[in-house]
Amino acid sequence: MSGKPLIVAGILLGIVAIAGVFAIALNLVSQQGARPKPGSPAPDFTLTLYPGYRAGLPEQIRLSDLRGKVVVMNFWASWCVECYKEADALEAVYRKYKDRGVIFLGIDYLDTEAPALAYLKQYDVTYPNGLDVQQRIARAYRITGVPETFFIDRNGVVREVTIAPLTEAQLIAKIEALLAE
Amino acid sequence: MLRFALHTLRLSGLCFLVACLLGRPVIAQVPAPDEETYRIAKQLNCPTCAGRNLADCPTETCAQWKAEIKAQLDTGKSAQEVLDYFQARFGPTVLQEPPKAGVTAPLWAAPVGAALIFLLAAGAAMWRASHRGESANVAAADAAEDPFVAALEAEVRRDG
Amino acid sequence: MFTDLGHLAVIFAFAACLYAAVVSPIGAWRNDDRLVQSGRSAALMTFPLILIGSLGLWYALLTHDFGVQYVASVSSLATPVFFRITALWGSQNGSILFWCLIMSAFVAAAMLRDWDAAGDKPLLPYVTMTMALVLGFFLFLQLFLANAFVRYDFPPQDGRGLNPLLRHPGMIIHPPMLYAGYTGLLVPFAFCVASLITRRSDDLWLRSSRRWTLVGWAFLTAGLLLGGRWAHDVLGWGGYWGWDPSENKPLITWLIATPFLHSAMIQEKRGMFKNWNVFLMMLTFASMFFGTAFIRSGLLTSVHAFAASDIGPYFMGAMVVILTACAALWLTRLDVLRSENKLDSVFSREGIFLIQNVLFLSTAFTVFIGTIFPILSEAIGGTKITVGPPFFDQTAGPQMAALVALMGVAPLLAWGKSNGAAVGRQMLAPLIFAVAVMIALFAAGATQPVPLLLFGLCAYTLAQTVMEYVRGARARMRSMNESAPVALVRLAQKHQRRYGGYLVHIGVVLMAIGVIGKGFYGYDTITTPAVKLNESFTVGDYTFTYRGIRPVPCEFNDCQTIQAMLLVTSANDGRVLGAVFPHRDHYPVQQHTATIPAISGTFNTEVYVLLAAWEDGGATASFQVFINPLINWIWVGGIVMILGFVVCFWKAPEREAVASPAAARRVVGAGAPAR
Repeated sequence: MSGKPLIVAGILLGIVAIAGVFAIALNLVSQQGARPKPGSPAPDFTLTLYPGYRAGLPEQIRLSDLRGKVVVMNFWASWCVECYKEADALEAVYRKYKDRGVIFLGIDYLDTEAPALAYLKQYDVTYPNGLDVQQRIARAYRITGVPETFFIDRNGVVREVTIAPLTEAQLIAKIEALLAE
Repeated sequence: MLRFALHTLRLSGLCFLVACLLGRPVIAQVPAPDEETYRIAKQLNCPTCAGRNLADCPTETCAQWKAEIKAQLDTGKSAQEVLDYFQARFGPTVLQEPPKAGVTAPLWAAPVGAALIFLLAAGAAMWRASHRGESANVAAADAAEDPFVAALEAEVRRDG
Repeated sequence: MFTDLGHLAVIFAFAACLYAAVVSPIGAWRNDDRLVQSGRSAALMTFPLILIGSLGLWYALLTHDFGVQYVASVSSLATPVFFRITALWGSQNGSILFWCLIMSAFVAAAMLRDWDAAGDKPLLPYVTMTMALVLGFFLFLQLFLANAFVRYDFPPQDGRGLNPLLRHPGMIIHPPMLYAGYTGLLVPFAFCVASLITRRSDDLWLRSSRRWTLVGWAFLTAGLLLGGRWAHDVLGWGGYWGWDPSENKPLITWLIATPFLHSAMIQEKRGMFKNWNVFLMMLTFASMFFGTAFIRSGLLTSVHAFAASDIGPYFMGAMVVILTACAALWLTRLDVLRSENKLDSVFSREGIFLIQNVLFLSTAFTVFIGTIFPILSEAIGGTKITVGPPFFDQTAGPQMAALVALMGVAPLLAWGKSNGAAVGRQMLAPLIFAVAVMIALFAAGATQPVPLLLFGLCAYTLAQTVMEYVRGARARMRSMNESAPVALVRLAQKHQRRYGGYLVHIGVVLMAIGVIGKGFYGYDTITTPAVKLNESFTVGDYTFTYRGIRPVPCEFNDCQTIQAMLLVTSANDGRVLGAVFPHRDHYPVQQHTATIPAISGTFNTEVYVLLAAWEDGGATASFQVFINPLINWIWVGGIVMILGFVVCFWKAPEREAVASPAAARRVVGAGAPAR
């Protein structure tokens, strides 16, 4: 029967295709929730900062350009109730450390501009803030929601992740630990 | 992404709860959009509840998005410009209908291609089947099964 | 205590499955009927054992035993008895147990049938083995990964209560229906595997499992319909179908099982396309497994948010094993499955069935690709791209329309070869009818070309199918001298499968009319600006007067309900038609708000009102109004489809024990192989 090799090839191809889909799917499953672990390098990204929230930086900043500084990356959104709780603490600690080689980055997740700017104004935020366009940064860091805060050391390595609102004392402790290195 | 969604869902649930505790009626009030905002919201996906469109979504985030649509319309933007803005800001995933060009072109091509390939394959299979094996007396086979059916077939189908 | 007994029973059921799966093939191999019968008994025993397990869990649910984690997660002290019973399938762990229960019921029923009389004894050990393996896999999931019997160390005082979305009659019957559909289709799969293992070339597996296939298919159909009704009544989408992944999954299986029902006939009648039937059966089974794997793994977010869990990888692993085993089995049996007949003409019943088959499959593929595209796009391009209803409407829609058209042609074609002139003659009257309908619709104002053509297509197919009954009854009246009603009933009685099948076709056409009506003429709007108290707004033929909102007691005291009152009057003559009460239910514990529609209107035009928003304690409110023309035809069509199934099924066909023509031919020509 001349058709047999063809059928065999077709079926094998089908199995390979399905196995491929599974492999991809399994890969995704394993990636889900696998945010950069403490000790792994922080994925690089560029962030376009909101006008008025640039703290002397250029409009577009790249994480790798901040090498040599301790970076506190905070994912937030104006619709996020939990974020309100830590907004004052973040700003206060930023003001305290901004001249000591520490930079804060506010990354606005799934948010519209007007409420976001209103939020920043309401909490008198001065540290750099920008929109996570198309959720690219959130995906790279596999955040599970907002707020979520990443602490990155001077060598660009993720050292700690918190997924709950932070207090001033907690922030200071974590930053001091990184500065002490 | 699921976890994003679930987490944000939970958070927006919290928004509800807080609004409930503070607010006047027991359920959070979400301002209703106007007709044109509603039309555009129908074409966008709800960012927090998977599988629904923005117009039908009751969460706080959705309310903000609808307000954004309205604000943009008020500045004189067209519906398409508003949709383009949302796509640029949040990615193609916000659109209910994926664009027929660009990254989603294969998605639209796949069903057409599949239908064509399947039909071609069926044609090939039929061609092969009609050039192989023996021909049986179908009428006899049907008759063997049921004389009435055979009579019926003969009466209404065969005689020209 | 009783609950722990149930747990133990499920463990025993798992052991029984393993035993049956091992002992049956050994029995067949050694030709030892005692072992085969022992395996059969073990498989049979799984049903009472799992029933005890389910009763144990029901007992815990009914007695508020919140020490059992599952009970605390799906019920609370406030949950009424009825919902405590249905809570057995209210969340993942319990639903897997319930799935096992239904599957074991099918297994037991298959084991109980009279295998000697049916003449398919050689298949028994392998049918037992296949079923026991599949059931064993689900019991494995239940016991080791999603155990519904696990207890808390410190029981909570009260539970969380049942997911509010699941408190609808449609949702209560819908999962059992779907489960019965899937597990019903397991039976023909097991027969198919057994037939391949025993290297049989005949259609015994098709004939033996035909009625099971029908049952599985009917349950699947009913499950899909009820799911649609549930979405319509509870989710506040304004429609019946949202192309949600968990809706698409059973639809894909349905889109593969339905062509199988048709192509099985080709093999029974003509001994052709044997490979194809094996392929379709395996694909049916695979689609069920694949869908479950994806939904349960949480890769696809859907309204069934509870489904996310870590059992997905196990499903996928099992899936790969099953697919490989099936393919290997099939590949080594290709020589056995050669066609006995030559295709005389494409212009024949079997030819058009094949075209119908591939169209069904390409529709299934379309739904499949749209469903998994978010995953594919994320895996390949890094961005997750959601695919909304417009994609499915535009791609699956035309293919489904083509299927409706085929439905109007296929019954005219004879097996073997058709006479073109005769077919053309038969098409004439229905075509005239269709044109008349289109002219009438056009005159009535339906001037859009696409829906007009589609309605014409439906009219043609409907008329053609009705004509099948007329022709059959007329032939009977003439040849047997019966009166028209008697002839019609006898006709359906004598040829259940044929005329039951046509009734299903009629149901499908009615449904298609509903889909076209809603799809092309349905519209929705939101009241702008918000309506003030005692103000009116008009949508279509209806005027609504807003009479305020009020809090009302929630059904089970675990939610806060705000209900709006609207007086409905006719926009034409101002007659009072009644009142509607759309409401919003907020569930603080589950942090969920349900927007529940109020449905009114006529049979042909449904008016679906949602409370969208209100301000200042109800001084103003906004409403979302959907006008759904012909949507009720969908439900009527669904009921007709189920009736058609009943006609097919209501008693065993008289010829069940007699071999099919293909088999008869083989008996005659035995010893003289054709090739």
